[in-house]
Amino acid sequence: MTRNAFLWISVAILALYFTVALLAPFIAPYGATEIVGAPLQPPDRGHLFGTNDVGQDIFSQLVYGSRVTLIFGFCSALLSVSISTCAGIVLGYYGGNIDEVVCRILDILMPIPIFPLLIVLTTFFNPGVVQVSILMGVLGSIHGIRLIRAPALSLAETPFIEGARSIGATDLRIMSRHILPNLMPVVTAKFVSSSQHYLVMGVGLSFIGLWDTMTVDWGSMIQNAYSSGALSLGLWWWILPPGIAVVGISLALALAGYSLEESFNPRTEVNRI
Amino acid sequence: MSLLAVSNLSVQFEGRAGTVPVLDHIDLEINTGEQVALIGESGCGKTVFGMSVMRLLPSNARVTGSARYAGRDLILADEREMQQVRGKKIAMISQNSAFALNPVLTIGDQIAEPLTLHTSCRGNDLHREVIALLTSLGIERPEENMQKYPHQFSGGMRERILIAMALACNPDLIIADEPTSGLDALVKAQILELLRTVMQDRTLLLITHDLGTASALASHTAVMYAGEIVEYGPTQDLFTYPLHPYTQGLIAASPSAGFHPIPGVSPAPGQVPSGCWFCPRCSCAMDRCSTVHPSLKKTGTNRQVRCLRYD
Repeated sequence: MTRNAFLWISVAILALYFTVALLAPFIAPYGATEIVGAPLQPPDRGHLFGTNDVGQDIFSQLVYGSRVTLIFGFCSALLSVSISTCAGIVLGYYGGNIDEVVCRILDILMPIPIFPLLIVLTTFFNPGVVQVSILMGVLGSIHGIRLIRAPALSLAETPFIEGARSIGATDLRIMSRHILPNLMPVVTAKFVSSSQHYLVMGVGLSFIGLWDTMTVDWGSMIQNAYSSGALSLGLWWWILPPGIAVVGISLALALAGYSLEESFNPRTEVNRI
Repeated sequence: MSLLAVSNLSVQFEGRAGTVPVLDHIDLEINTGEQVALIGESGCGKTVFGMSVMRLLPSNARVTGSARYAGRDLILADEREMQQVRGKKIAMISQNSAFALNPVLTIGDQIAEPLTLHTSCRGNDLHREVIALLTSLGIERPEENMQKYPHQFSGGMRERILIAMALACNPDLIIADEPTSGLDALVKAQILELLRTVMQDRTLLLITHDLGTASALASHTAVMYAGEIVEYGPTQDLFTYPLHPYTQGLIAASPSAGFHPIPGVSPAPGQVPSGCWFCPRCSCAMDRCSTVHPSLKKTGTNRQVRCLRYD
């Protein structure tokens, strides 16, 4: 299979997830927190994935939960990549002392593990989904800044950037109209891989209950099932759907990320004889 | 009337190893309608001269002296003022057409950019203007070609596109830095012919190491050696009766004159000998050449030469 086929498969899967999240009220038969039947019912015609311990419809929870999970993953990634791109281009283009100072600061921040730091921060401030998403986007941009800065640095020295200056273009215009388009491949690939990273991290944070536990999302669904002993009681319909949903989108994003990176970066191409 | 009057222009680069002088007290006047060629070996400071007038040198360059254009000194102008001059009043055709165009923007966008920056031309007018420019530079099927990216063009075509960009705002002065580098003989001849036609009644500063290009395009020629001008005069005169031994050497070294190279190498910046800088390589050096540094003197009606033999 070609990398293009992989890319299209992953795009199709992502489109499916987004459609479900967007059309949640039309797809889900019940509300996410609505009690609609007897508890712990196995899947049947009325409840596609059965019900949980308080009699909520698991299929509806899964559909509504996709919203929080997706919004968290993609918003954090968008924020993180935007910060990385802006900062990386500015540092790479201007260079000099500011670049030197910021890079040293980044060197210090780099080894700080984000996940444990988030756990510490959330225990102190008890934030909601939005705050955690912002926090994670900011903290996660450290690596991205270095990633974008490197090619921006070499682009800033190219003859066509000098050419742009020689026709009287302002710095802002050079950065946005000349350097940024050249970096779009890197930025796109970084965005896709970050979304996967953040999405899984979001599920993880929710699983350990780091934000409002009343929010219905895949992480909290798994957490509920897990803490109620769904595994040992054989209540597979409770724990498997959110798990498979997470694995599915994560795989699709990883696949998209790899195919994009491969098509943008010819050096990663393996010899196909 | 002088359009650009450069006087006493010196450029030094500050590096880890100290300050390296690259240009030394350059005086050069370019009158409206003149095509002035600046010739010399690689590394003699030709490109730095062009860049210092455009104020495009990196931040470690120390520029002193003045470059008067339209009543102001470009060396003292601030960045905002320079942005109004670049592309609109003084445009540049940069060397190396392979890398001088942005690979991810269509050539239509790139030719339109100087117009967007400096004129109020937008939309359909802009489109028409770009097509007119492409047509005037001999690019066929402009409608179709303006949608293409730089890598889809040959070197000669890219050179034409760069010329189109420089001409877009109808600037007072065009600085062309090695406009024919990297082109094969046939295409080079075409580009030279094209440049000759479009530059006929424009003002041009041509930076080149190629004597053929200089004699084809320039009305006046300045010869540069190790960061200073050693000879200046009308191109025709200068090539027929070169005064400075270095100019004579350059002409003798050209393929048509039989490839007689000048012995030795030009001094590295900052390591010039005392006395005349060309003295160690000069075939007619006198005793005092190794001690006295000659100044640029007027000889005849409009020639200038930096050599003790003409004192």
